[in-house]
Amino acid sequence: MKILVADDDPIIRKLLFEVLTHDGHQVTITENGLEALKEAQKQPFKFIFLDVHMPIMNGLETLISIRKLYPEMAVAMMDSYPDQLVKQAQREGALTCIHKPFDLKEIRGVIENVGNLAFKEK
Amino acid sequence: MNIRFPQLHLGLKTKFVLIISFLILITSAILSGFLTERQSLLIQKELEKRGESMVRNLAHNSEYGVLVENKPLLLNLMEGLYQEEEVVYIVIKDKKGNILADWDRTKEYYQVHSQRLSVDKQILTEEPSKEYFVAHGKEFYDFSCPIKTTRVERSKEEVGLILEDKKELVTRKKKIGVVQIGMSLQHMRKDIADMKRIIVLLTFLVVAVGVLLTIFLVNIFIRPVKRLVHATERVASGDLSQMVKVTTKDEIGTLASSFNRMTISLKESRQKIEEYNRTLESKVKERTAELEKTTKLLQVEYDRLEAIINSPNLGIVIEDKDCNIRFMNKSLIEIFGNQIGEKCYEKFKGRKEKCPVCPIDEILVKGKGAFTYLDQDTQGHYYELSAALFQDEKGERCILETLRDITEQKKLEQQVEEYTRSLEKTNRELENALKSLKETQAQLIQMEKMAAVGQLAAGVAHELNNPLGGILGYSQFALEKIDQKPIRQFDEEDTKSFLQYLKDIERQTKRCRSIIQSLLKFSRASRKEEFEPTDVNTILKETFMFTRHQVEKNRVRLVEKLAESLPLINGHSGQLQQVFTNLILNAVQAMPEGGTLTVVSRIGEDLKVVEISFTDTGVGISEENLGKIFEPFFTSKKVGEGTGLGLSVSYGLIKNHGGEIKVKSKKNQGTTFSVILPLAKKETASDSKDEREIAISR
Repeated sequence: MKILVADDDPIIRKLLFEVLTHDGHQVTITENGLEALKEAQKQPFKFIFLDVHMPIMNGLETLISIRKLYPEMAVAMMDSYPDQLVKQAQREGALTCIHKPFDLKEIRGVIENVGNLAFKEK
Repeated sequence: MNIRFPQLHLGLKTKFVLIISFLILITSAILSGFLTERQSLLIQKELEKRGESMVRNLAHNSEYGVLVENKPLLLNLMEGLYQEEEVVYIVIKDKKGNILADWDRTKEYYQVHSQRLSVDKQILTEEPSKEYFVAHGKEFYDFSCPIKTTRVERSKEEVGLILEDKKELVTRKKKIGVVQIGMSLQHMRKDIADMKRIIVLLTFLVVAVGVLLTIFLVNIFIRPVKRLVHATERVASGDLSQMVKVTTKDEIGTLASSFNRMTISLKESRQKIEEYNRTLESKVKERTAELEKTTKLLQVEYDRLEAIINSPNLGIVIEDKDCNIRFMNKSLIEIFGNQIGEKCYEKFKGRKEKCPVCPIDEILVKGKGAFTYLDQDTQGHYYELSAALFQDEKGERCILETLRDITEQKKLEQQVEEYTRSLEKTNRELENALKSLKETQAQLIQMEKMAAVGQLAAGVAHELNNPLGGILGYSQFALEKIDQKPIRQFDEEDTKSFLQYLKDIERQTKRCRSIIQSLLKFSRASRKEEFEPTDVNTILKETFMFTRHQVEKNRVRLVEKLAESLPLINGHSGQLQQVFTNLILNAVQAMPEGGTLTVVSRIGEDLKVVEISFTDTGVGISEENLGKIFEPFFTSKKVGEGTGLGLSVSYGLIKNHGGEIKVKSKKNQGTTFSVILPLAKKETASDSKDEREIAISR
């Protein structure tokens, strides 16, 4: 599965890249929303993890753009503390929101759900 | 000499000329009349004299001729008289009237004459005589003279012989005849007429010369008078500049010089008068101005007095010593009606006799001065009464009383007392309210602090949750791997990655520890009460760390322009951090679309302060709000988003540091908040050094 990760914290990017690559996914990592949008333009991702608080372009704005441009891509938000942006993101069509520090199970669970949805659609 | 001339407007000259001419005329007329008469008489007399003399001579010479009756002799005697023109006839007669000899120039006049005269009369004439007659319209004189002799008895022959005794002869004279000579008056008349003509002519000449001379003389005399008159007229018309040029040394000259002196003195007097007039005018002006001023002052004084007298609520009454009202002012008349002439106690107090306590008695006893006391009338009104003694124009003692209705004042005083009581009550309530407000404020400040802590907590959570996420993730990932493959079966690759996981975990844990340490440090600092030498840059850096997340989240670029080294300030790092956090978050909130926040720290120009400025590129503050932003509870944020205490608390905290917060803002361009903090006091030694430097620079 092609997965895109956008987070300003290098440790989260690194962790998700290693774990998801280990799980057999094709993972692309970016530092902010703008870079994420550029990557999404290059290749069709099945799933995108967006950190809510990012410089340059935050998670919510990125989410809105992606929902508009690539509605077929599933998006999950990540946050480090509860915020208005998270609630808004869910209204804008984010699949779910993962609270940091997260269990790897949560990440895998979300990805599995997306896979199931895709399977059902097929 | 009260000669009254007819009221003709004649000049002096004309008058003089007329009068003198008239006098000359009269005099000449009288003189010429007199002269004419006199001359006529003289001529007539001369004629008569001549006639008489001729007839006497002829008579004398004819004595002998008549005695002898010798005609030729007589004719011869007569012949000499023919030469006289006037003689018209000569007749010599004897005593009987017989004509002895005659001669007649015209042969007619004697006849006429002789016809008129009797012979007797002719002969009887004793003395030479004359007779006037008119013949043929012409005048004549007939002179006759008897011819006498002393020898009448003697013979004609003896005549010439007896001449011895003259006396005898005279007394014995006898008339023997008569001589008659007729003389024409025509010549005489002609002479008289000629003479008269000459005299008339002469008279006219004299009159003419006299009149001309008069005119000439009058002119000479009148000229200076005219000059005088002219000068007088000019003087009368006000021209005092010209003198009369009269040099004669007579009365007119004297008059002219007197006049000149008079003119000069008049001129001087007039100059004096004019000068006096001028000074008088200015004096009058001055006096008028003074008078006007005084009048104005008096008017003002009068108005003031009138206003005082008629001021509402002020009663003025004048009474004599027997309580008779003499004057009441408007205010009193309005209350009591016009009671002038009545007794005061009857009208004011409704009593039939004097009040037991009467101000008039009191003041009469005291004699002078004024005093004040409280009075109450029948209607329960209170008056403040003052009495003063004075004397009227007759010297009677009068009392001026002023009454001030203080009923309202009394009421007001009571009301004021009530109000004061209720105010005291309200005051107490207010004090209580203030107390509770202060408590509330303290709570609010605490809340603000909590809000700041909340913001901080979010930042801290963000900062902590990321590394914790890393730690948790890698731990679980590692555990998963061990689960799948026992550590004993680990190859080199696995070990290497495991090592990497652990290193990451360690690093992230250290990161967490550092954050928590900062937090603790901040917490400790917040708890501290005392001020200590503090580095502003350090506090700023810590604040940036805790707010970094909020700043970045709102897409705000933070530009740090911190001074390389700053002198320490005496301050409370916790309070300062609270202030900086507040200012940074405010700036971020002022830029909802993102922007740039520039934070500058530097030493003030006077080297006595540190200045920290926070400049955003946000919406700015309206001028209207600029004055209010430091007020407690003022907020432009939505309800629930801000307490409205942030800036007010910050302001209080900075004031507490002896510093100040300034704000500059332009709508839609941005706002700059500047925090100015005084430097920490140096040691005494450097202090005195500074002072020395200042002294030198002065």
